[in-house]
Amino acid sequence: MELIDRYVAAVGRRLPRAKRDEIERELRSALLDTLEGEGADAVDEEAVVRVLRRLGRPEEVALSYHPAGGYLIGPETFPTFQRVTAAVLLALAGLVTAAFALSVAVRTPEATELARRFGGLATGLTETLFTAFGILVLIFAFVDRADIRSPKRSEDWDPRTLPAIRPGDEIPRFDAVMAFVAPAAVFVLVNLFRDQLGLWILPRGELLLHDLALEILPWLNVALLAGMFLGLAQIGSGRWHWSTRVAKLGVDLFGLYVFWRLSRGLVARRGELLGAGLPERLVDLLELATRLGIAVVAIAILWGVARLLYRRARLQPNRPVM
Amino acid sequence: MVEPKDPIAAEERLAQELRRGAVVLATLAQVRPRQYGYSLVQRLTERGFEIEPGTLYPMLRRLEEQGLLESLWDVEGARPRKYYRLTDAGAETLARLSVHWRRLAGVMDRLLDEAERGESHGAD
Repeated sequence: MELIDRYVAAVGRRLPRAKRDEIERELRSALLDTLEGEGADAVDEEAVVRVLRRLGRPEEVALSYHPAGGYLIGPETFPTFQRVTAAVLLALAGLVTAAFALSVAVRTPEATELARRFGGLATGLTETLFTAFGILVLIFAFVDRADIRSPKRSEDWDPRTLPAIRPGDEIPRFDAVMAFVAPAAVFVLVNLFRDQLGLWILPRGELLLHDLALEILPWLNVALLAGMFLGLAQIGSGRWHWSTRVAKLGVDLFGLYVFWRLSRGLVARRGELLGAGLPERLVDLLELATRLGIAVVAIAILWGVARLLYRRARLQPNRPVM
Repeated sequence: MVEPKDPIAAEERLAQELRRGAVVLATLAQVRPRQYGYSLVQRLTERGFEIEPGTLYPMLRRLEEQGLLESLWDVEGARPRKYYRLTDAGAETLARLSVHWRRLAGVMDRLLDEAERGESHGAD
């Protein structure tokens, strides 16, 4: 059964998400019917290999579920396109962001200058990523049509070389959408109401910590943009990959850094808050809340690292059974 | 004149193209009362119409998307099975395609008969 599951997953990876579950279920059922019809079952590896070979390579089967010519990058090339695109876009985003962070760290500019430079970063980043994406699409569309890869003959194919299924790789649709929507909503809110960022003291309507909010904003925006790109990658792929898991850890680490800056800023402005008449207990509570934020993000990161290490240790690269 | 590199393979490809043209009609004709993927492969093969499962399964989905077939998961057996059956639109399409096919088959018979007669006249 494990070989059938790996085959079905390999086909599913190349199918549009909307059809994937149904086709996977149908394919599994059809394979079991075929085995039963031949007087074999799913534990008879030789029979399974024979049936899978007859059905064809996963990329060929996935291709047959697509309407002819209705795609720019075909199912055979698409998984590679996804991997390469994710790696290139993440690397580019990381490089541009690191260059920006370095320039700010070397000489911290005024808040207005920082905001202006951040605007430049957002524009430059968007332009860079879209251009890179466009170039990658063109390259892969060419590769798909030119068929310059080495020919793979079905009779040479060994189903036992199919990649192992990694439990927990599937990302529920809702989670993937929320991974994009949540940071996008916060991004829009904090940037639309930039002038109102800070701590409102009612009923006097006094706005405290506005300068701290502006200081944190560029860093928060970088973290949110990174989160949005990650969310898009999750929606597009529907599965966790090694690259997206590492990127998620990177985004969480950056979030930790933002919380740390916020916490440091709050502690530095304690006198200002108390001077504005805020009760000491409330100031303590604010500091505690940021510390709790740091703790939660840190635990999430540790949990992510532990899961990654566990998966690496448990899931050995799959080799054909001789 | 260009000779095909592998005449047997070229002939097989042409024969496949002929079958491809008839596969929808053959499927619509055999899906009654209701069939699941593997049973349909068996049914068609037993009647001399060989079809690869990798060709049939995606085609069943396409026919369903076109409204000619409808599917139902039967979960009462040992394991779930997806059954297909003709819709009313599918039955009407089958009836019309059958008329086209018989007309075409008649024309083809005449054409091939003429070709054979021409060959025998030429040989005399």
